[in-house]
Amino acid sequence: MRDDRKFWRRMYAAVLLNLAFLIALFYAFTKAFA
Amino acid sequence: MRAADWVVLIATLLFIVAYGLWKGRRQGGLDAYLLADRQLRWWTVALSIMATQASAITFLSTPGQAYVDGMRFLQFYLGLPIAMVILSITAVPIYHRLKVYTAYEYLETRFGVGTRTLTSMLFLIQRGVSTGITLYAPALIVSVILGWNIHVTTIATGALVILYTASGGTRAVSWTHVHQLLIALAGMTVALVIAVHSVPVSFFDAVRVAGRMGRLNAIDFSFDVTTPYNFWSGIFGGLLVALSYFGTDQSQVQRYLTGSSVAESRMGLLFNGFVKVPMQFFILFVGAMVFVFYQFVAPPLFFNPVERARVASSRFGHEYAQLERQHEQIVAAKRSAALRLDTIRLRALQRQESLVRDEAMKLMKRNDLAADTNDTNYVFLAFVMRNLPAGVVGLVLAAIFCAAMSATASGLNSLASTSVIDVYRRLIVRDATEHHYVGVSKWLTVLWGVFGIAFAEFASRLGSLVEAVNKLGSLFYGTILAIFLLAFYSKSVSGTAAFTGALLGESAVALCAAFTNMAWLWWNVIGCVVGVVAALGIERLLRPAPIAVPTNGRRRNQAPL
Repeated sequence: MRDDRKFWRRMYAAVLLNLAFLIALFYAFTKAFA
Repeated sequence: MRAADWVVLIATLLFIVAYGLWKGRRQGGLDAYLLADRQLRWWTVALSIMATQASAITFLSTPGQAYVDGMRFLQFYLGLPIAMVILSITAVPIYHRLKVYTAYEYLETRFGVGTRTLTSMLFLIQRGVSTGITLYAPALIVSVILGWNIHVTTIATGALVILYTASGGTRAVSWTHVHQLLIALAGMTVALVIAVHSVPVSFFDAVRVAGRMGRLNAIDFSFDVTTPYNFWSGIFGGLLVALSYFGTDQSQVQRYLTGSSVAESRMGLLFNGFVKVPMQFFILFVGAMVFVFYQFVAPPLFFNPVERARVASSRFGHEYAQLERQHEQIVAAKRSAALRLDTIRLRALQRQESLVRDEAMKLMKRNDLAADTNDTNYVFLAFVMRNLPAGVVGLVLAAIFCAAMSATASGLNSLASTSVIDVYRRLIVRDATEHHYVGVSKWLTVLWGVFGIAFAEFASRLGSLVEAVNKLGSLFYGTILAIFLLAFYSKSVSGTAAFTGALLGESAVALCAAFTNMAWLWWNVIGCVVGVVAALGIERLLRPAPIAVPTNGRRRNQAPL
């Protein structure tokens, strides 16, 4: 598995962006069906 | 239960136990027994982490929570991905570099043996009790819904877990986790598909009904410290719970210590950060769809058949029968409103149904003050038993028992590791052979298993079980996290200051839990903040005042010429 800093920075950013996307998605879901 | 269900259930459980025994058949020293020789790949680490957290309570109580309260419990998990990133950057490299067996071993290098022992003791209390609840939850629910003997169910489940966990150690635990999680998710998927297919409206209309009835309230940005689940408590409280649980709880730390490198362990944690929130959404969504299903099909007035039978056969039986008739009329009206997708009328009828249910619960309490009037945990299994076809019921039950076994196995495995490494080898017998410590680890796994089974006998009437486990953890997580935060990030704090700060943090949590109505997620914040601030303050008080040194005309930090 790759072990360079750039790779891990991208992985961390991907996890956090995924969380932001999910919050936005679920908020839209909450509002759309409320 | 029909024959097909028994076949599926027994075959699945036997497969898991046999697989665990086979995978753990070769054992060398402590490294092999406690950490699977530190050779696992990231996907095994990831699934093991997820299976450890997803107990039977997750699969039984969470859908019931969505049925009763909607999907807002999802927000509890919002801090988790952030915690995965923080731990990947900080804790994972430290634990790997020091080649520790337990998280608490690291604390001695930083604060001394006192803090290590205090933290490992807090862990042993909390995890020992939680493992008891983990065993008790499915046994209770299955015994109530299927009429099985609760004592036999608890002992049988516990004995199966003890068998492969004690003999095979961490390797058996991690490899069985992979299959257990996949079986559990398969069971939930089949239940969801059948629930959605059983309603006489389209999937989109079913989702719309759930939303209008307040069951899809996944995200709520309003700030209120007395409500347990909103965005803010999830992000802050949930972050601290996740940091403490994944960074300092040996049942989780042991999972990623098995990774063959820092990269494999990191990837295991980050994968969890990617998929945990969607997975919880999925499980809660199953509950929301069960709720929609019961808009078209009559649910029982109360989902716990034991309490139902008790009040029906009491002197309040006549009044309860009247309430059941009222409930039937409301349910019939709800069905016709649901078929018309008239959600305004449905909401009005839902309020009426809630009032009738409240009356039924009051009757139960009048009949017996000790009656369990929380039926959240029975909703999902009652749905499964009444409405799923032969074979599928067995699969869902197998899923629930797999989840119970996976969380229990991690609990026993970590309890044995901490007892051996942080107590037995550190404080009692310091210079024995590896073979001796492996033998002691096996016996301690059995002992903790017996403790878990014994505690399960006392764990009744705890309300929603998923909340009970998290509440119990929240009593200790904040303080433990404070100790680890000080260890990771503060170079100046001494062992005495950290130890005293932790005691003050724990006292603050105890006061909040006993004397305020603060929602339990905030206990983590209190324990952590008080622990850290008190330790830093004490360190300032303890630190001797700097002694004035003659400077011979030079400024203090100036290097001698």
